[in-house]
Amino acid sequence: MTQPSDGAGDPHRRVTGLVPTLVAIVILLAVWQVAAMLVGHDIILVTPARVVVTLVGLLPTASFWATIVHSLVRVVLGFLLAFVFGLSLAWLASTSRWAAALTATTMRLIRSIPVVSFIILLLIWADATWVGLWVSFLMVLPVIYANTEEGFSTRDAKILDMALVFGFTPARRWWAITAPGLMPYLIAATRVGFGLAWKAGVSAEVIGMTRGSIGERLYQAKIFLSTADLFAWTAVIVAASYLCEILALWGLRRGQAALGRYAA
Amino acid sequence: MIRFQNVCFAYGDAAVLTDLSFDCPSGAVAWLWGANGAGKTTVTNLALGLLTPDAGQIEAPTLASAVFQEDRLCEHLTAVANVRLGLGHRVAAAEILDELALAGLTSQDAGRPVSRLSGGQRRRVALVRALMRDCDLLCLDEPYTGIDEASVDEVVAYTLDRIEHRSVLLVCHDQQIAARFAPTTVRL
Repeated sequence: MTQPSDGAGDPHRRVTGLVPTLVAIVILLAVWQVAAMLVGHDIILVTPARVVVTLVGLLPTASFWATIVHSLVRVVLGFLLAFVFGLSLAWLASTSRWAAALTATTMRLIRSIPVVSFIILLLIWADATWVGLWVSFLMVLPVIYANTEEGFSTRDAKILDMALVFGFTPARRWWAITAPGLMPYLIAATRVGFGLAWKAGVSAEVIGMTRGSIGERLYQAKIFLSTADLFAWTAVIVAASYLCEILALWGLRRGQAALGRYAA
Repeated sequence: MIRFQNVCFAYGDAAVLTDLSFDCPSGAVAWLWGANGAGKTTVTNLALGLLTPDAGQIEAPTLASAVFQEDRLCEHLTAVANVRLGLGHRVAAAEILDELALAGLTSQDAGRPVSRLSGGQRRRVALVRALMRDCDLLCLDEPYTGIDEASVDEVVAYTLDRIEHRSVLLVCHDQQIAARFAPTTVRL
């Protein structure tokens, strides 16, 4: 379970400002550079400079962007599906104890099963083309569900009583009370969920050798012992995951601001 | 018209109301009077249908409105939006702003999310939300808590102007304020 807060406005939870982040990145790059120089072998540990050169070499090629779009579409779709299903199941769980028991048990089961078991099963059932999507979905679903379910269960009963007395319609109750209450939980789930979706999705692509995917490129890097390519594509995954998270959080915050307008 | 007939209520083993009976006709005010824990808020919750009596009968209008013990406002919404939500139908913002002004809230404050208002200002919003709503039963549970002494008179006068035909259940520890409502006292 993640904390039900987006961390915004809490100086103790969040390192703010560009400078501390840049300093941290520089320190990590310096450690990496020194380690690579000590090892002295590109196949074991490539230098950051070499990775940058590899990445710059990839940037102008059409296949580079096509590969990113291929994986991006699957991971984002997997995340969005998990978001919709997780939210819906959590709502269902909030309406009935039987539904809650069923969904909670299912989620516990999904969380406990190793990701590789899902990947192999999906590869047995179908070809590898969409395995990244389904694995991202399965890994993110319990995270969205757990957070949203927590949001539903911590709704303020006194505010709900107020809504009852003032005769709020279900739609108004949702927009004015439930959705704003869920938002911190959805933001926390999104922060965790997108990183997880990328990690699981690309792992599935590696194992399934999905044609035209980032996973396939990582697999090729392993076959050809190209550590520079491995690091370059890993950097792409980190950047893509970060950008997805930023965009999703921006969208959620815009949604949060819009809730006030729609509610009234 | 509100009618409590031989109403009993307990939270678990702790009996709060025993054989409580009273009437409050339309346009009248029943002042619920008693020590802390005597069951004043319980009576309002029973009248609003938020609690069910263990025994006895309650007749109360279904169209109700309330100032609760806590403000119970939607924190992210403005004062105007909170009042509008309570009304259940579209009302011009200007009309709501006029009412909020009568309760002592400036238009600038009325446009802010209520989470940024002071306790007294929030109380005024809760009061306007309750009084603007078209209803037959009005429960006012310590409606003037947090409102500064200098403006309480003005806000009480505003409340009295808006009671009209409604049956009112009033919980108020200040006897002088309660007396202005010329209420029937219900001792608990």
